[in-house]
Amino acid sequence: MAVGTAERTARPRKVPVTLLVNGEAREVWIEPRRTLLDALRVDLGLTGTKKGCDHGNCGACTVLVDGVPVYSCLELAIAREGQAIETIEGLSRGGGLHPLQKAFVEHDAFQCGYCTPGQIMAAKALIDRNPRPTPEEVRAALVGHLCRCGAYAGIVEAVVAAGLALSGDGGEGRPDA
Amino acid sequence: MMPYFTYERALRAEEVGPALVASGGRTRVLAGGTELVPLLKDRLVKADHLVDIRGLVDEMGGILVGEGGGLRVGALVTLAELARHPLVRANYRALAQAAEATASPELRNQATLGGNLLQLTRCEYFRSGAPCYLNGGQVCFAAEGRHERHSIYPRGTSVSVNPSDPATALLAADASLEILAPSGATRTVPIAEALKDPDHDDPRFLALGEGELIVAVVLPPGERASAYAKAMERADWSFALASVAVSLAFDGEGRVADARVVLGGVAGTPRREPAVEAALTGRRVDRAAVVRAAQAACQDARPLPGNGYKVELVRGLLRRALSGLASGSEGATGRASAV
Amino acid sequence: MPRIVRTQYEYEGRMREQITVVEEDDLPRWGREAKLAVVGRPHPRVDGHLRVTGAARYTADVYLPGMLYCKIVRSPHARARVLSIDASRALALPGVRLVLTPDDFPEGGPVPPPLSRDVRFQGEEVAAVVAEDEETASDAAALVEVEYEVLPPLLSWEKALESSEPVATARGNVHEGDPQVKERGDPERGFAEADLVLEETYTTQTELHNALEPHGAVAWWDGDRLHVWESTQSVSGVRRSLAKAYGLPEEDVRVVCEFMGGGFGAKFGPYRYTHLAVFAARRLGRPVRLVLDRHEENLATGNRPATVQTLKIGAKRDGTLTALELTAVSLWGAGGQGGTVAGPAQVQYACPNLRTTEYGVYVNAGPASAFRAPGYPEGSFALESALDELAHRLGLDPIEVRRKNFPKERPDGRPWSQNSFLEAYEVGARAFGWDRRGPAPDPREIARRREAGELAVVRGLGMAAGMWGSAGWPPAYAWVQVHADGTATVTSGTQDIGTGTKTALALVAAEELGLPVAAVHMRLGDTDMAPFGTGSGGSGTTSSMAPAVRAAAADARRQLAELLAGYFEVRPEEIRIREGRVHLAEGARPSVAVPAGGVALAELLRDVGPINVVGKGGRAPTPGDRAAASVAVHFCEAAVDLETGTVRVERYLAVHESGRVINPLTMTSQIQGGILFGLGYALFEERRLDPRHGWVLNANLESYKVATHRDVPRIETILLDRPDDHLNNAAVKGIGEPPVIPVAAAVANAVFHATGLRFRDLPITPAKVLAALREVARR
Ligand SMILES: Cc1cc2nc3c(=O)[nH]c(=O)nc-3n(C[C@H](O)[C@H](O)[C@H](O)COP(=O)(O)OP(=O)(O)OC[C@H]3O[C@@H](n4cnc5c(N)ncnc54)[C@H](O)[C@@H]3O)c2cc1C
Ligand code: FES
Ligand code: FES
Repeated sequence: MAVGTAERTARPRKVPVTLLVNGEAREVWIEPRRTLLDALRVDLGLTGTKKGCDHGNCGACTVLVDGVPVYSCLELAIAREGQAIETIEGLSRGGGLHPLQKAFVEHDAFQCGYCTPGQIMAAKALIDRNPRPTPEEVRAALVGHLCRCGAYAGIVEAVVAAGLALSGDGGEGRPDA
Repeated sequence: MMPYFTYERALRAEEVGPALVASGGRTRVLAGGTELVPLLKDRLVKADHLVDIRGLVDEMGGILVGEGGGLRVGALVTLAELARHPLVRANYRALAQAAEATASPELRNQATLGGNLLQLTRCEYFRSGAPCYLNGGQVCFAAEGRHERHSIYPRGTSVSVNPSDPATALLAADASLEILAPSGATRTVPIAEALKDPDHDDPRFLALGEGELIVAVVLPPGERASAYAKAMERADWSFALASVAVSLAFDGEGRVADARVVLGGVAGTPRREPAVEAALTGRRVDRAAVVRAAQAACQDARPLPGNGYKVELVRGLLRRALSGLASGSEGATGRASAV
Repeated sequence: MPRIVRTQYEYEGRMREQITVVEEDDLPRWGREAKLAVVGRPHPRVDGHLRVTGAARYTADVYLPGMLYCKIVRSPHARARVLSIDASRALALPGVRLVLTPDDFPEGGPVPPPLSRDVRFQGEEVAAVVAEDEETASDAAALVEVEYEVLPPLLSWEKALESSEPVATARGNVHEGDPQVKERGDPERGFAEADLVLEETYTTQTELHNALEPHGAVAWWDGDRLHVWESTQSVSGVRRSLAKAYGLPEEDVRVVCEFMGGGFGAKFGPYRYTHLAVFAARRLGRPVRLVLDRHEENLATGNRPATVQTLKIGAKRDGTLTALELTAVSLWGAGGQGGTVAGPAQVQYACPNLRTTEYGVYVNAGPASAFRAPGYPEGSFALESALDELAHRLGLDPIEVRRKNFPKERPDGRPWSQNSFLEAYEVGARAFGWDRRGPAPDPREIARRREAGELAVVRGLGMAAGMWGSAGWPPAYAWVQVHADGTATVTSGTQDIGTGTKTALALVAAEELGLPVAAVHMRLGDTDMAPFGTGSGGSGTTSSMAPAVRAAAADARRQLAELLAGYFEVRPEEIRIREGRVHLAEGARPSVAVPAGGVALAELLRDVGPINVVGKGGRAPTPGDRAAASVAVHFCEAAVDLETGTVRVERYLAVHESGRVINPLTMTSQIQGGILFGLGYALFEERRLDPRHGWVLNANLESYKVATHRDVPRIETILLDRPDDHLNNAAVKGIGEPPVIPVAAAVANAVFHATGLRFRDLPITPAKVLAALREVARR
């Protein structure tokens, strides 16, 4: 075993970056190499966004940038300065659950829940654009999200149901499976 | 975790090339980052400095109708934009389908067309850091090891295949690349000439000079019916085991006047298949023609011991893509649904 | 009264015996007649809102003030000797606090050294660095210079058996030196009596767990008290091991895992990374975090080992089995442990003559570990494929053959507590439309029509059955505290790894206490101030914990009744609590009047002030006189794309009996999840190794394929809710593992029915399907 003694202060390599997260401007001091995912989790304490692979292979880290779902593990935080970033924590601001979150609970659309924030963010982008997706449209939109627990069927049901709830449709005209 | 680098946003395309040249290879261009970021994390490429070109949309973005028809697709256009653009869907169906069959929706939102053409091999040896030919070593481990996903036309030193779905469709569309040299000069090169096998000195699949940028992809005008078919081991979100892009021009009688047939995932470059093209030309696309054309494919393939299945696969994909374009069918007008 | 007993139970196909403290309860069992208000109705997860808002804190989300980051340096070689380690460049990097090497962990200590000098598989731990942030730790890890003597790896079982150089243990390359042999009757005579004998070899691949949350731990020493956040299936187990390793009283070790992102058998621990974090945290006096990345996860945290199985099966013309002989080789990697591949062959059918021979072979690859029904999906693939083939060759229906060989008892002579196979075959066949299944086609015809462009997709139906013997075990304890606000808290040192344990136990407590589910708080996943709870494995969490929680809740209810009896001046037996309201038995004469709708417990207790109602309960032993059987009968409709060779499962039906159903909602999710594991195993999951160097080529989630949204068929589940009240007071068995077991065989059998081609090598990839089509076309 050997102990390192070199001082931290010898590394003035961090730069200030202002991220616009869930409607709030927040400044972080980070190295340019810090991914958006790590900036959210480590620097801003927003650990709702998960890291499953860090390589764009699982979807757990999905957030919305200007309303578009992206894998935050492949984004540099510094490159997204000033753009509107939305994370799972932004969905239930004010305490109440978003209809998607409610539907995920009701339809048991998860087991361990580790993929859930990513699935929900991608689903939000979908139903914001298309409130009444068919199950096949849901699958197509969420195909970039692995769920190792295999909660896929519940996820699709939940997204369809949430879309209907949001568009004020009590279940009439529900698209077929 | 990526090694340390500094970051800047490019303000003008012409300034990027000279900066790349001056850095001696230590500065890299960042577009969508979906390829560069994982390569940096796995320490497969090195960079001290990144130049983010995503802001250069005036020069390198947008899908525009060219003079005399055709389209000019900016290199920064994302695969999602490409896949949903109405003119691409209408006139370059195979390309729209290839873009849509690429990766996942999030990745398509992030990935640019230029970056897609410059992705490196998906060979598992290379990606896991084995000291192979493309990683600066002296061997291609796949040739003697596991190569189910590798070339059935092995040549040169690496048996890698070009993993890009769009590249296969672009070759079938007879596209050209608009390239900006560090000198500020722009040249337009047919993609057929730009595509190359990866090698020791340059693991990329495109022949680009030092500091050159892809500015746009140019699609020629012309009324053609086209289709893209891709095989994956799971249903979606995978690189192709193999793929085919077919682009046909019909004469007034519904016979094939001109055929461009390209195979993806079988060689170091997407591969035109003249024997299949010849089997189609001058004929109506009916079942007999489809079967004959498919059988003509890969007659000269030299599969490795573990990937002979690709010959069967390519023929099956051809039957599928061609059936969708059968003479008189909707597909033959270019309005076929996705394969 | 608690007492010490010697008890036996089945765990993942092996019998275990242990001495333990149990508590008997005198509760009437929740048998078929029991009328339950809460248990058995679908209930959403009680912690669901935390999981959908991002508020749930997983181990990977633990960031403590002053925390340091540890990164492991792993061997790139599958077999090597570390000659030297030079850490000077790493140490010179600003922000690096410590570099650990094998020298820091002398042999013979209580902790098996977490760093190795003798490398036995690619990815084995050889050094570790600790730094101020994760980026610095990974920069430093890349700067640690390790000099290796690279040795040729032993990778195939044939070479490992021949070799005089042991990979993992001094006893050679076969686990325990010899194969495990089990025999009954006279197999040779059985084969002689058979009208038909089939003998085939089946091979299965190495499967990786890939729980979405990686393995990881955060360690912090608060003086001499150790706190560890670990992503684990057993907080109590980790506490016990850590206390032993570091010579601490268990009270001074706190292990926390409140939320867990999946384990599937590979997350018990503590593991090497845990010890590195604990060691570094003590040395540096600061919290240390060590969370693995996906690449490490797929190199070094366990797997379902590959197998080669030769199965010989003999039967009479009417399908009656006369003999079974299985020789199974399982590649356990470097010192790992796989499951019982012969389990299904040994117990699933009544075959009088049997011999199974199992080799666990050590090779220079990542060690095997438990993986959702260890051994059973592997063994089931061979057995259930063979039965299908047998039925086909004899011109019999595959279900008929299974019915014919239904085992009336376990081979050890014990009768089943209950065994629902016959009912499940019948219910499933009807629901699936099995009688519409025609004969399998001639594969040559399929290949011919394919090449003629006449046929692009074919469909087929298949079925397979599986069985799992688990009904929980002691020790498992729980406390139930009732509060003056009318709510209750259930506390136990067990955990919810995503299977719905918190919810199931909340339903059990609510039922017994007479409270609404919303009034029950669950405190799991933290060993501090909690009684010992079971590990989440062997499909035994609910069947171990539910009886304990029920007993604790009953104890609390008794105390509460006594307390309330004083208030109303009635006898405690006259107190009834339903949905949080207190009622009195008919004829009771209280001193305080009770309105017709009862009085809310919360209202009653509000004025009383603090109360001290704490019930405790423990798990009674599972009676040894009967054997438990959770059964699964699966039906599959598969489409084979003849142009691309891809197999898509389109429709799936799973019939399950696992005793009493506590929460049909979460139970269905478990079954669906299990089926998806099985589908991936059948069709595309496979760890690929370079055959010469032993490198893992796809230690990622890009080319290691896991099922996506689009791979999911329409799945129907039928839960046979049949309380198995001989086994425990809640009449439950396990459901975690059974749904994985028969899937691969059900798929392979459907592919046969679609194409006439029999695939005996998993996974059934496009390459294999196309190669087989080409082969028959040539014949
Ligand atoms: C999980 C996963 C699955 C995928 N599946 C598929 C698939 O099925 N089919 C498929 O085709 N692809 C697939 N891809 C690849 C993906 O399409 C590419 O990563 C993406 O298109 C690269 O574009 P980018 O903008 O992100 O490139 P970047 O990562 O930004 O850049 C890639 C490289 O190109 C250089 N570069 C970028 N733009 C230019 C330019 N205009 N001029 C010069 N140099 C430039 C960069 O310096 C870098 O070296 C997949 C990727 C991932 C991560
Ligand atoms: S963590 Fe970003 S995709 Fe897996
Ligand atoms: S719920 Fe566990 S990974 Fe999706």
